[in-house]
Amino acid sequence: MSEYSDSELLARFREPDGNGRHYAFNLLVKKYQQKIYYHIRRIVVDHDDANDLVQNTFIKVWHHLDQFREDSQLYTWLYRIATNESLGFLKQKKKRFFLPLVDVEKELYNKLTHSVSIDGDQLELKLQQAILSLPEKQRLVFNLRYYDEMKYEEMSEVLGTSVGALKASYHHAVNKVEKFITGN
Amino acid sequence: MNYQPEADQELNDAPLLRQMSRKSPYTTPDGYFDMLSSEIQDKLQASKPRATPKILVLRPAFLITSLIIMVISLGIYFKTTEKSQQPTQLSEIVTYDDLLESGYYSEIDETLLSESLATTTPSDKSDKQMEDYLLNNSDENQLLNELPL
Repeated sequence: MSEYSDSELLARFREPDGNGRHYAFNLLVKKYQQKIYYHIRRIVVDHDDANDLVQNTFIKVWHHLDQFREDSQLYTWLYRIATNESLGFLKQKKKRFFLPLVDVEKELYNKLTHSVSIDGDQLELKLQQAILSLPEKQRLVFNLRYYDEMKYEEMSEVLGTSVGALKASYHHAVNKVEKFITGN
Repeated sequence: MNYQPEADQELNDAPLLRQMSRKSPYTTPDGYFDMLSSEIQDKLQASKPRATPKILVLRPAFLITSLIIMVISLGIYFKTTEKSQQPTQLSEIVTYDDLLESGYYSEIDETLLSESLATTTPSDKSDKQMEDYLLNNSDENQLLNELPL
């Protein structure tokens, strides 16, 4: 599966006879599903929500892959769709339950604390709590850089923010998180 | 997204963060990623719009054509019916009695009538009948005044 590059997958998906369409899409899902899932999961915390969102993300990808112009890389395009889906989900949640932002953050925090599927020790849990305490955009930047080791140029494509601003944002986020987990 | 040494350098001031594992702390149900792609395929199949029956596609065009044909047919029908029902003479629909009942004759200007009579050819009515009619239906003095001297 890893022998296919993104451009090969795209070419297969776009074959005029349509025979390779499902095959190529299936390979694409398998190639990126974990990265996209964990990116979403870090935003919404809950597994069921993340599962719905990752499926919606790939369904959107299926419907719009023909229009993908390759101005950006395929995986940054996937991340952008996943990010928009996840942030849209949180926004809808606020609207639907008339919740202020603070309450949604609190809900995510509770889910994190009571989640049975969170692995690791107490320090790990504290790190996740620290990340959740960050403002939404800063949290995205931190996760993309710290966990996905995404380049700032690519992150700029995903978030539509300048490289300089992203660097500064990550720097502040790192300081905040470090202070939080060391208890300072 | 290859390993970037500069990403590590950015954590120089955050030793705790630097030493921690970057592995995702979240777990998933067993076999989740093995099933995910087939679940997505299933969802895609379910979300596919069902094949629209041909009759539904044709329905608007069919309705418009039917309406046009109906309007034209009705137009032709009413036009032919109107023509066939149109009387050829007024006397076929209005009788003398109808006119008498309606008081139509009482509204006729007598001056115009006398003028008309003077210019028309004598009818088959006799003079005696004419005299009787005039004596019964008009004022004698008025008649005398209006006769040309």
